[in-house]
Amino acid sequence: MKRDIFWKIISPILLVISVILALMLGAEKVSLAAVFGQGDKFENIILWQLRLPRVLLVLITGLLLGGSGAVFQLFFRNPLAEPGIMGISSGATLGAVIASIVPGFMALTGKGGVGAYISPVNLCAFAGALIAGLFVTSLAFSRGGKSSSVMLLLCGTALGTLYSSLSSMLLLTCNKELHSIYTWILGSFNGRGWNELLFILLPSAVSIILMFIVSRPLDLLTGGEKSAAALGVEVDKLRILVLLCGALAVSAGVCAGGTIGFVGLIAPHIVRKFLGPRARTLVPFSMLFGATLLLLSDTFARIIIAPGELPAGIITSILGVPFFLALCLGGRK
Amino acid sequence: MNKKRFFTFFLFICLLSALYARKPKAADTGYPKSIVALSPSAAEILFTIGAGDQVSAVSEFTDFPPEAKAKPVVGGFDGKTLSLETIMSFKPDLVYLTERMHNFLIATLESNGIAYYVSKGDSIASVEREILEVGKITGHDKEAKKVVDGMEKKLSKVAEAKKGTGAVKVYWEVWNAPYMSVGPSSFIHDVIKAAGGENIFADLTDAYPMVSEESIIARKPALILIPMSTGMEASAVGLRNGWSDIPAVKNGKVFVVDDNVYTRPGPRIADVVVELSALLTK
Repeated sequence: MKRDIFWKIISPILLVISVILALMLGAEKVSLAAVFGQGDKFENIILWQLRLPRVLLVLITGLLLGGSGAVFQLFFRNPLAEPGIMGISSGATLGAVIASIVPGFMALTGKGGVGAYISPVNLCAFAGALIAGLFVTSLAFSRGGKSSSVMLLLCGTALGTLYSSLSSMLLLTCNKELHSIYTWILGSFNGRGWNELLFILLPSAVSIILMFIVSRPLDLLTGGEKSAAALGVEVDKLRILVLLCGALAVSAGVCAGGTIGFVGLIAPHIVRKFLGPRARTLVPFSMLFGATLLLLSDTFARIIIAPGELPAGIITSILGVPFFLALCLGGRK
Repeated sequence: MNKKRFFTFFLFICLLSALYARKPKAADTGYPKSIVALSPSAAEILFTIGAGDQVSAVSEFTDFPPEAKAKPVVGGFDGKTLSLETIMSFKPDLVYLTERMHNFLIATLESNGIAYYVSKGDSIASVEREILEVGKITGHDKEAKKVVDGMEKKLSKVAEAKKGTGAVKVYWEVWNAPYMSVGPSSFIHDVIKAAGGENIFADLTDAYPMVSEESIIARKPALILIPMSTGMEASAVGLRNGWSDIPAVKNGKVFVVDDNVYTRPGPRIADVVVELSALLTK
């Protein structure tokens, strides 16, 4: 119990430290004066127009991915579940690929077009994730019965494969420059700013509220859907809320940083090690931990080969996997 | 015993054909008569030096000159969508490859005794060398020499004009989600340099690196070039957060250029250098 309290205090502190680090470090040096708006013009631009919105975006995306991962693992009672497994991330990629190929979408970048403010690629990725997510959710309506959660996982995985194949086919047949869209697929917050932040604020807020709403009944689900139903949980309703929450979280995350899947898988497992499996602690602390991991990854991605950048999605696994493995193997003793 | 002898004979044949294929020229009667050009720049070089009649097939995205476009297509220039069967159906005696992208074809071509030429196309100088070499292989040395001389004339004129003036900082935007630019090992870097510009990401090693938005702004490019194939509009660049104070944006020096021509390592690159140097000094 004492250990619990220690970790509950230390996690938010870690998050605050990583936010400060993320703001301090970057490809370009920013003097302390810029923090008070006293730096030179370009320092002010870099800190307030580029770095701050990006850090906030990473923070929100980390919260969403960590939280939705925990919710999915709890609901499906499957340690491998995360919103990405439902084909939502692949749907996002398909959207991004379509935007980069169909000439009409990139033409939206002209004056007055919505694309001038948010890249059409990110917009279409958001739409793709949302459509894929809502489609999977609608499958949940059509199939009742005790096996429907397993069916959902299978259908989601199958649909994800279908979307990936369609993306690859489009890329290979219609595009000369595969390099740029592959960089997008690897996941990066490069070039995102205030506009993206404003855009994802509403879906993110709804998704986070849903996470807290479902975490209470999720605790009752640990004994299986039948016993939860006996305890008064409306499993069908819960399933739809969970899917909706995941769809919104991934859509917002994808608009902000591309397809970064690994955080949602790993954050809940790490938190479970320290704080136990109760949903009411697991969900919020997975959010905190997801945000910390993603912030550190993005900071590394920005500074390792500056002025070049690496995709944050790669760094997430390079940082996270060794830590995760050490934790798993250490627990076996 | 018989089997063994047969096997030795077979090995011998393989060895012979491999040795034979290593030579850039396959034809014993003279010059290649059925060339398959696997990139738009290869087709362009062949047609410009007057070897168009010897070309039997080209790759996708081949669009210049119009006669080249009329030739049959063997598949994507990317390599992943190329069909080896289709290439073979043209009974080529020379296959014109691009370094890295088409290297996987070499083993098959060698074992079948088909000659090949590998294009490097990583700088203007290497393009000129390539034109001369291909001229020799196809029997059009004189025309090739003439083409290269013409290019040299244009290039030295630009070099002469920019003497004494400082290099203008140029940002070439490959893509904006995420931001990607070009490093010194890319072809376009060399083109920018020849036109009197200075690539702001000349210090990176990767040819097409993802770059930090902070660095783009801090390096204050005086000219921003957007490739036409991205579909992006020049006016959108100024609307990005924090970009309005970049000198290039302030002075209206953001241009969309036809990357089909700008990034193609072919004979028209000298004209590109002339055009780009005009954009730089305007």
